[in-house]
Amino acid sequence: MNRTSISTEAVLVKQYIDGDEKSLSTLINRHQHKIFSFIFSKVYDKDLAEDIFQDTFIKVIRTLKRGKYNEEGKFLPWVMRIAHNLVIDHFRKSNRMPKFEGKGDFEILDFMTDGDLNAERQIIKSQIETDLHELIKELPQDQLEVLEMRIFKEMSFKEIAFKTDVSINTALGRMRYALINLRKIIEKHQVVLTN
Amino acid sequence: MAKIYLNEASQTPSKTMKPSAKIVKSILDFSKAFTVVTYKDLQFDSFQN
Repeated sequence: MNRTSISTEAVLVKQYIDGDEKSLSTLINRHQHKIFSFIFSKVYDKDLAEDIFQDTFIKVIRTLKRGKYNEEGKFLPWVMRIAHNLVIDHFRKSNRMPKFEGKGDFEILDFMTDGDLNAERQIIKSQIETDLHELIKELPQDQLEVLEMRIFKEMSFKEIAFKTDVSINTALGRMRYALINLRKIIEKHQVVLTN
Repeated sequence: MAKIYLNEASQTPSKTMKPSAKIVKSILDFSKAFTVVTYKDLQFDSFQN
């Protein structure tokens, strides 16, 4: 990359930080091929690559808007490093996390299916459900959608995949990210969900 | 013998690959909605509808 393009990058980043949203669009259009191809070359799944691409830029946006970017014009290498770290995170988590095959036997909130509740426990259960409905609103839309269909509408992953027009793997991935993020949200709010 | 790897050809990464327009739009929408509010020494993330 020559000096002119580096300075243009720096100008675009500066303009974006100063509130020019079009600069971000220019940066994405300029680098999307390299970043997306890199992610896809690691995960070999287009939907998953799109999820990681999206997470990469969400991280970029948060960092830039928080004023914590200090890469002095090296925008692309910085974004590639974020994407690389997210790919590693994905593989670490997928190795560690149990595999959900969508057989309909995965119930995240088994503790909520108690058939014999006294009045006090019913109130607690109702409070937990209310809290949960509030907390999940903080999830990204795609994850919220999958979680609601799975937990509250009790749809299978096959049905969710069909309804949201994605592969079953993506629906499973979104559910997994939804649960990971939900745990973070619960920790952030220091909420205790138990009966 | 059947070409069992036939579908893999379309999965080869290339430098012309790019995310769908829907994904790019969602990123740009997120960017428009996301703001950071600074109060004294604290920063708060904020989302606007």
